Amino acid sequence: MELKRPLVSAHVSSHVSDEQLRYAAWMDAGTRIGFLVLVATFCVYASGLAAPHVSFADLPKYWILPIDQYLAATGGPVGWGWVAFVARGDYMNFIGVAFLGVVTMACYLRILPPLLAKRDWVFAAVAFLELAVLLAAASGAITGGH
Amino acid sequence: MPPSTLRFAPLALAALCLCVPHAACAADGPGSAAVAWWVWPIALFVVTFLLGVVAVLGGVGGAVLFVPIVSGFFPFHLDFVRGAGLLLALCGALAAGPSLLRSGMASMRLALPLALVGSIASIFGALLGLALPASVVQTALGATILAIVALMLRTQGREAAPAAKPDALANALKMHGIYHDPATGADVEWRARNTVAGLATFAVIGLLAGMFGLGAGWANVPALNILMGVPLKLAAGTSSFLLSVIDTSAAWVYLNRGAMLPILVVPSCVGIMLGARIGARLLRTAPTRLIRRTVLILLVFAGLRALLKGLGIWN
Repeated sequence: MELKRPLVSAHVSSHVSDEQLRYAAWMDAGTRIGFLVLVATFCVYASGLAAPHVSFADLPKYWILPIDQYLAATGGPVGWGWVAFVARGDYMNFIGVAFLGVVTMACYLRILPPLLAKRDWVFAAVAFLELAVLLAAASGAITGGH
Repeated sequence: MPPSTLRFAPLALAALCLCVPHAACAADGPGSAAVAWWVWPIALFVVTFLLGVVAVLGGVGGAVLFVPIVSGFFPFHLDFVRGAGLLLALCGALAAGPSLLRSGMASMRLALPLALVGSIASIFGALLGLALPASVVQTALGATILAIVALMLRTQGREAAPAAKPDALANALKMHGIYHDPATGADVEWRARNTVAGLATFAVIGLLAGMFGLGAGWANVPALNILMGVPLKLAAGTSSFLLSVIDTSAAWVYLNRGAMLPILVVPSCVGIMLGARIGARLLRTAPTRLIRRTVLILLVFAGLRALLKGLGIWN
């Protein structure tokens, strides 16, 4: 993974479209907030400030299990059910993960109006379809399992 | 870390990986409660930090090393490791994305149609990975990692000639443009070719990314450059942006399934990102050819370990 710092002062090419710059701005802001939330909630979890749903002592017994058995053994939630568990240290971390998952959707939502205004129908249709796919994935309806 | 000592980073990583299971098996098997829980996030942080350094220097994505190594040498179930691998790749892609988009080194014009196909396929891949028995996924992961090594060896140092003429679909999707190359100071005109084959390739890449949690940078760049005729620099930048979309779809499936262990995800993401920062700084001075070779050996080792673990030969 080549990590490049999301710079506010990064070189902006004159060949870059307006919607690409808008996408980049929202991606930058969303990613920064997402990382902060991810690290902050983990600190709360690891410090024991919020009691976890599965205690640290018990965790090694469960993390070797496939996800279905893990959920059955711990009574953990699927889909958006984690929201009800969000006060517990471990599931609190899902806020940051979910936020990072929302960033791309928000970026697509941001570029739709300028694309429609430019009557760039093909590109707008592709962006709209991608947004629909991401929303379906995030809806919680697609969970799979063994 | 002095650059001359960097050649030992992959060796240190291999030694750490071999030590971890010995520590874990102190009592009644991997993941035993005999090992204090806090050992694992610290070990993960150290290993992923080194992975971050060697991944940048080796020119590979972090997740392609993370998934086989952590699933092979740590006690976490493969379901959690794949979820963490996707999130790790997503974090890196999101961090790199804004500057790549602003500088024009990534093209949304090129990426969006490919990302649409890739993200649909990655959802199916994630569902498939979560539905299949772990041994089957582990075996397939091992085989895939070994195939990736073969692909990397085959495409190493190769750069395809830019596409001279776009095809009809590329024209319809306006998959062409100009980017500014800061190295040469020139504006480079580009266009895509073989769009149908490119879309089909990204469907396969998305499927594998979702199924194994590997990210997909290892395949994106050769697909964009060699197959679709996109200049190498634009292909590399666009690949990173593509990851942010493709991995988001699959990551949601793992998150909704509950296959996210914070104790695995957060230390790994932080470790690999810090390591990648160090790696990026050392890129100019480190003996990259040697490290790249060692990374390939590490991948072969991790791939074989995954394959043999999946087949029940080396547990």
